[in-house]
Amino acid sequence: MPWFRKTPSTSGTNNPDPLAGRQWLQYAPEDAAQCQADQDALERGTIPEGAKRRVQRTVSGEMPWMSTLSVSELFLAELLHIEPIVQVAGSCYYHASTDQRNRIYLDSNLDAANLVRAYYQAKDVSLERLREEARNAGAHAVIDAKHHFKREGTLVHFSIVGTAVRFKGLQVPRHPLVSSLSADDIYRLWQRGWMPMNFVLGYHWHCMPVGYRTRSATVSWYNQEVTTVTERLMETRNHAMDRMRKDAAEHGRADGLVGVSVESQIEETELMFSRGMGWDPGITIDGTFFPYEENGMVEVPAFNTEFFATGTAVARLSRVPLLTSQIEAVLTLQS
Amino acid sequence: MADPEVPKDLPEDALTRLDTQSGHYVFTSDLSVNEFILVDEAGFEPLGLVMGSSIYHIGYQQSNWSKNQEMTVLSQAMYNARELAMTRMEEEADQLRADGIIGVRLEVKHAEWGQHLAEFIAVGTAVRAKDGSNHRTVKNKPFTSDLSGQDFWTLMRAGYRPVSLVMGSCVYHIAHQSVAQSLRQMGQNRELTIYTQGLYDARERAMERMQTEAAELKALGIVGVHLHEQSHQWGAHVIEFFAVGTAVVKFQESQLTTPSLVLPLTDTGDTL
Repeated sequence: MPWFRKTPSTSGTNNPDPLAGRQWLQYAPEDAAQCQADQDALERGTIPEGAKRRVQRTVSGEMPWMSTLSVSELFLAELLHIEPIVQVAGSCYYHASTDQRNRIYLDSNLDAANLVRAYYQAKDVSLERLREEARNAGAHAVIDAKHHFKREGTLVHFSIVGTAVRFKGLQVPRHPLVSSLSADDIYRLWQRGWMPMNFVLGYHWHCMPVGYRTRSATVSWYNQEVTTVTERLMETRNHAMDRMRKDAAEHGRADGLVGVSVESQIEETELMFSRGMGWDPGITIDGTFFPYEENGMVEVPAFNTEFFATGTAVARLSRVPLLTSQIEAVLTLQS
Repeated sequence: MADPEVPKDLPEDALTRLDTQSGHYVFTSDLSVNEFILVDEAGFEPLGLVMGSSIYHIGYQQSNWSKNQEMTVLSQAMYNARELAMTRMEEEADQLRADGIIGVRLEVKHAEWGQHLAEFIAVGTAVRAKDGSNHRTVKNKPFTSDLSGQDFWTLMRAGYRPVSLVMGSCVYHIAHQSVAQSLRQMGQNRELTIYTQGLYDARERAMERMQTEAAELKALGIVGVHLHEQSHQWGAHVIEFFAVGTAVVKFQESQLTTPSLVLPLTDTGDTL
């Protein structure tokens, strides 16, 4: 008995059957051995086979090039003797250490050092993968790189996609330049004697336990500033910006940052303190006493302060439009 | 209507609408004034707004909880439905004897009235070269492109010609970690390569499909590639990578003059 009978398509109208004679495409499923090989490749610090193959086939001219550049940028690129080669990408999922109940450890300063490290690791590993693809393509730089960060609990995901380009007539550097700026922006910087150097990140995460004094301010009927939280957010910002400067300086010369975007967030959470070795009856936070429970732990209300910034490091090479030789020198000296 | 090349797929209503349009020559378009002038400048005239749509039921596929795998049934559905919408739009353009379609927008809407139903729509403006030159693809279809009128003009002046909107889709299930694995890794700071590998695989598949499509049309390159990463409604571990861009070929030397440095006083502020 036909349960799923197709209704005749001609009922009521005299339109033709639009699907008659159409061929449907079929995709082959993936190969488990290849998946395992790719995973091993990632563990070894290199990139999966598929990524290598795409770059190689595109560079050899077997496949058309692709680029994230818009049309006006493409034209500008031609004018500047920049040749788009292939689209390149890098990704990484990084897990910050937790305990059995998915809680994160804080250091003695109540900063989430592990989580901060996870952000930097995810970024550095992804950028290195992006560079490897660019190196395979024989590129001088990756421009127009768009990134995105996502955090789910303690799992940090970073992805970056950009266009690998060749500067015609220049020696290929070992360390291709990565920039989130468009060809348009790079052209403007060059015209003014600036050179984009690197993609940089500033991130900090701090946890602030609060006692009655702060809590009461947040629930009172009066207009008042919750100064302790404000201060702590500013400290978090300082730490994040410090790291950003350091990140810029670590990867070559940097005289400033442009195109910086900034996000900050404050969240309510709980913080667990444990008694440790001593026999204290409890801890005092912000004028409030929290006694340890029988298991030697105590839960304290807290605020997370999180600060996140990304941008491009730039270096001043001259007061007039840059010469080809200057650009070449900077690229070769990059480490 | 006696044209043997008239497609067989369009409803009567669409044919009537298109016929009226070419007869009276009141063209419809979704071009802005700037775009309209620039398209004219590039040597093309707009013929009419064309569209294609497909309401598609997306099938079901059981995913393996602990395995990185492509959900081929879903990938095929996402691709086929977009292709159907695109083809119908191209057929409408054919009916207008157009050379191509610019400003194509490809949208997916999930219907509230059906759980696994999705509506795929392609809309664009059909154009024709004023000098009668042929701009159709190697498969004798009108060219398509998601570029705006401004970009279209710049592209033509720079010596490139759009061939086709090319796309690749891959719906992928990223593995969950087993409890034992999670327990082992809990106290460590480390990369979870199983996730990274799944993501790489999905992205490579989508990009390769797009590239293959462009290669089949003998394109030189693909500009303005966008990579969309969406979850649609399949849950956090199933993602769709959708790569889309305009394939181009070089047909003449660039006719653009050197631009001068202009610093606009307002930032456009466009972000990804």
